[in-house]
Amino acid sequence: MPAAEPEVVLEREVPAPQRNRRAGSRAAATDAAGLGRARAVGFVAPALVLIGVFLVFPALWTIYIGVTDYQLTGAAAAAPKVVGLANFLSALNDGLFHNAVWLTVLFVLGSAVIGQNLLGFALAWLLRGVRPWLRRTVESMVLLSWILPSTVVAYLWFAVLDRNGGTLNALLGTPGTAWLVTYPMASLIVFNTWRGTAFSMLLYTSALAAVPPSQLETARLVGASGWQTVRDVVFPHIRGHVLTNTLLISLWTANDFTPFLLTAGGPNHASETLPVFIYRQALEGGQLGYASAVSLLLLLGNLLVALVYLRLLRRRG
Amino acid sequence: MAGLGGTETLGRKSRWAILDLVVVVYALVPVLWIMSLSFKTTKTLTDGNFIPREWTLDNYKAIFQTSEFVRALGNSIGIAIISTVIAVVLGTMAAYAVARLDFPGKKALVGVSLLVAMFPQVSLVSPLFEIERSVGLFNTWPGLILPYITFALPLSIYTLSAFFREIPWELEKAAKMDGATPAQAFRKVIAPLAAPGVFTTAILVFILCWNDFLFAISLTSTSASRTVPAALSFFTGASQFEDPTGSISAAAVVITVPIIVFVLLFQRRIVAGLTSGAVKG
Repeated sequence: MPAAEPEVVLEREVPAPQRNRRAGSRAAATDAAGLGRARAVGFVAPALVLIGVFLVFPALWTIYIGVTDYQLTGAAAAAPKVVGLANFLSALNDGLFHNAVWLTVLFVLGSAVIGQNLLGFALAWLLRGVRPWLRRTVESMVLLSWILPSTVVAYLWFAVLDRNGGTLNALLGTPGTAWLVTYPMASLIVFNTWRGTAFSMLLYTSALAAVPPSQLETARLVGASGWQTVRDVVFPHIRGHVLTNTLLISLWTANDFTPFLLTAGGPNHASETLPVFIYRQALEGGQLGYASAVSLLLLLGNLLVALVYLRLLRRRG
Repeated sequence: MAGLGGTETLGRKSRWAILDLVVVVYALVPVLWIMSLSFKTTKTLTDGNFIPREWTLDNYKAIFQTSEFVRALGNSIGIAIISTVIAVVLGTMAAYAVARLDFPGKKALVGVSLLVAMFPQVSLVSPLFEIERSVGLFNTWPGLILPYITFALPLSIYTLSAFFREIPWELEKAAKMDGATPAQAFRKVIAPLAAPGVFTTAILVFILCWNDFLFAISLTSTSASRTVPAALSFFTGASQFEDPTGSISAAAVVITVPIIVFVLLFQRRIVAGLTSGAVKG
């Protein structure tokens, strides 16, 4: 049913308004398709309405709840009071919040900025010249680890890291090591590097295709080492891609909820990154107001990272 | 000369071969392990063997006999397909307009799309929970479909407008010169050219909806609308006294299969779709 909609809209208003047919002054603004502004708005409206109702409105609601003492149950659930910045202030004094911020920074730096970035680039770099089938195979393996449902992936890693009879313990000959309990953050960082490398690898693969082969050849002829080639020849070409990639994977990692499935933040908050902290505060602790305030702080952190990135990107030009 | 080049490439090739082997093992071991578990009998589940000693399909038979799983699978398929179709249709309309025309609201749309990439999904859970409970959408199909569409829309608009921008708009002009109406131009010229992009986007959106856990677990309360990723965490096996490892493995394999099939069949398109926006932007 919905598939017929665009055509219906189009045919109803034929012919297109004459004013949109003139050759425009700006190429991007030229209405080549003869859509007409009104109709263009009509095309975008359904998407905008949905985004407004199910994304912007809840987001605003989050901001509102963040300044109240709203709770899941009890007196404050029936009649939440506006408490101003009290939630934000108590976050600043909350040791568990500090812990969550620190773990999130660790998680993002370790698994995204370093882990996924380096592994993704290394794979893209090493796979440049190999036979297509080999490249395709490696690509699909890496893609798979990225694309599998997070519940399945978490379950897979349980099997690998299991204390008794886990694959890792069998491989390393360390029976009885409970990886997720003894080294929760290290396990999560390795896990997320494994999980997310695909995006970096694919992005760098297409970025590397844009590096002129002649320059690589020149570097080889003057006897540049692999590292020198990457630093002086390749990097200047792909700087923008490196920044874009780092920004995206950092944001995804900071917002990632999968750690909850692996460790649920435990043991004793040792792997409680911010999204897990927010979820536990909201749904387990019932502190909806406080949890919303913390989500806002996470969003602000993300915006800050994005601004730094934009500055770096602009400096290039 | 040729011989020299040959030994050099041979050395490099073997280095690559080793590296690739490591990558393949690294990526595949967990998946194969789960497959192996799903074919093991209850007795041999914990024997630590990579290849099952006794093969059995009992785990699969068992999960397909529990209404819990079958229901969840139905929910997953229905919800993911409906969400994908609607998100792709709405996304195509919006992306076409975004790629072809400046209009009021365009900046807002692009800005919101960027903001969504930064918004922690977890922070929307409690407001959506409240909203859905107050309007009666909680624990229904639309209660999951609508948020999925919303979360998929920015992604599909982003990817699709990258595809639309690649189609030279002289084509529409030419079509109009030949007397085609805008509707005909869209249907006969643009739609066929955009089809690969639309298809790619549909795969990505489907995967997004199919894989979601957070909304599925927070916006449902019974098997009436619980999808497989959420149901999996409630899974206790076919009978109460049975170790659920085998059943969970089988269920995990069942929801993984469509994704693996997608990756194998449409790898190139998925890669193109994932990198198109980011590389050009």
